[in-house]
Amino acid sequence: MSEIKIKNIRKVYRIGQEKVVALNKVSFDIKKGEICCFLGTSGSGKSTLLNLMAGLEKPTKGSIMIKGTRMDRLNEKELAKFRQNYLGFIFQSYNLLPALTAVENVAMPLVFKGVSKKKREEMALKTLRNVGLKTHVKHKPTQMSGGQQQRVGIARAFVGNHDIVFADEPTGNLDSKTSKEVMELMVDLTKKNNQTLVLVTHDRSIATYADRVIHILDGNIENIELKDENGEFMSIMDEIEVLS
Amino acid sequence: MKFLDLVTMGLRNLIRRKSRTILTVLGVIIGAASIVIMLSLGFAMDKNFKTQLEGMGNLMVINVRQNWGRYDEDDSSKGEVYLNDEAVETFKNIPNVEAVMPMKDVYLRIGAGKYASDTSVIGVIPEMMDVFGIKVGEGRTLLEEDQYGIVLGAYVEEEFMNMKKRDPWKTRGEADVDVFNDKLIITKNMSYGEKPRYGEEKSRLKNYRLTVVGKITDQFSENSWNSYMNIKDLQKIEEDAAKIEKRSGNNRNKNKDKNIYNSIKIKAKKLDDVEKIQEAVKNMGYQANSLMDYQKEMKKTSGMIQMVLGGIGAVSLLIAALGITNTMIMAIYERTREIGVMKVLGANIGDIKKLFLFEAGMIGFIGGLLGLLISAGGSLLLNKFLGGMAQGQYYMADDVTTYVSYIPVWLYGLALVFSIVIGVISGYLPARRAMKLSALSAIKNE
Repeated sequence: MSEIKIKNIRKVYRIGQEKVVALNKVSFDIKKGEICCFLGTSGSGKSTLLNLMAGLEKPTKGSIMIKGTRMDRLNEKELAKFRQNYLGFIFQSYNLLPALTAVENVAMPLVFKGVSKKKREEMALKTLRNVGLKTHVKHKPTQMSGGQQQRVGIARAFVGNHDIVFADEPTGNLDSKTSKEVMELMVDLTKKNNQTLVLVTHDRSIATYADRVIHILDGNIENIELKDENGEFMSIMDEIEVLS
Repeated sequence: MKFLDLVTMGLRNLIRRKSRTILTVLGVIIGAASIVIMLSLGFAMDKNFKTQLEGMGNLMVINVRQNWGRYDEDDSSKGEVYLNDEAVETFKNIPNVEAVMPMKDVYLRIGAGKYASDTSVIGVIPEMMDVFGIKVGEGRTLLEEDQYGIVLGAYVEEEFMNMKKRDPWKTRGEADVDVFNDKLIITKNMSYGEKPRYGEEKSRLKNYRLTVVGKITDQFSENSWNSYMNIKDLQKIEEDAAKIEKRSGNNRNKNKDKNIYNSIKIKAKKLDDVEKIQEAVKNMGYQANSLMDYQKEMKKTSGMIQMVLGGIGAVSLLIAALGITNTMIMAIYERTREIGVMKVLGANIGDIKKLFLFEAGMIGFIGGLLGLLISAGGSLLLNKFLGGMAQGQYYMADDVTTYVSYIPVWLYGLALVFSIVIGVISGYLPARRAMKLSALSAIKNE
């Protein structure tokens, strides 16, 4: 069964009198344990797609099924619960809480889940070690470099051992060397825990880390590529068109 | 989200915005302190009135008298009522009555050698004196076994004068009577000690050997004007006098014979019962009054003053509430991104609301608490420096404290709860706003 199943999604924004079609009838599946990358230029609708999958927005039409649950039908409270249990998030601008230390930031999702302080800190420290941050655990975000901050961000997404981790341009603010490290880290963690990672990026080099690359253009899926055993990408677009 | 985590997070947020929190708290401090101080002025008035009344007598005692001035038709259906043993029994059966004491008062003369002093003597049941708050300042209270024992009123001693003199009142203070040890007599003969007038028959009314057992020293009480004797002794004096008068052919008013007592005192079990009992007695056709009558009037007056003063205080608390709302709205603008992130990370919208309500409530709580400390201090200072001024306004003994400001303990509790409630209410709208904030717009990349 697919971890994420998107069917005939349409999203229309209303800007004043004008209607803007962000997504136009999009369908795809993502399997469990897969690293899936949405590749597209800015304004292509890839971020909208991520927001829809994360339940931050509701689609105008279509259905979003994650782990067998219709995300588009959950209310705020159920969504919060769903995020606590299944979803992790990594942001481009890290979005760490400035008042909290690295450990506290990482432990944040566990606070909402009601995990005890002692257990929380234990888990957070362990995850920070796993992302390669051993020394700066008591530092505030402002005292850390971008790469370090994103490591904290990654730790925060992985601390709850969620089934699915969403990452929105995770390397957007990082230099190429750090980007590479961060990407390798994310891939490594995902594979180790058999998690599903959904990436959004405009950077082709990032897409090479993925098992499945979905090209988005002007609100439509332009192409879907799958990585084969040799690490070569193969388009499966023709098959889908035949199937549907 | 656990409550403890909510508390730590809320407190951290408040500490993070130190100066703003302090200023907002300051507003609440001023609001809470002003409302408490203002109310305390009113409460002090209440308390002073009450102390004054208590000094005058017992608030729980109702005085019942024959209703002489009653002529209205409506009441005549109730028939004539008299102050007798039957009435005493009836009163005892009224619910919530603690004790009933019949009293007789007779104007008598106390003689000490060539000096004499007139006093109104009230016949009481000895063991009831304490119950009805007749406080003996010097010596002891009456006992059942006392034979013609008396508790002297506060002014008896200074009224001893030489009645043989032409202007007896000029000899006031001249006599050095040791009431406890000198030989004293009491008599209904009101010309005792005076020079017999020419041709006047010598009174045959008896003198009784008197033992002073105690003295009332409290000068401001309603009880200070009278002296007190066992009612049995007084009745004996009256009976003896009646026999003598009968022999001399003096017939007394018929009505008065039916009233074997001059008044009856009723003591209520609780202060709240006084009014009801008083009403019941009135409905029987008696005249009944108590210090509660005054208190009711005073309560009305001080209640109004309290409302005005409390209103003034409430205005400042209202302004403080606006301050809290403002601070919380600012906090939301500042923390939009943070709230969004928290939502995306799985925070319940309810938790976010609770967090903001907690912060607002905390501002109320801290402000209220400090405000109370300040009002307690202020109240202390007011009493210390202005207390003397207030003393003159009430009829009270010098050793009784008068208050300018009085804060009952419950007011502290109420004010604190009120401050918290004000905080939470002020925080409610901002909290709802935070709750409804779109997570998406909050985390959008800039």
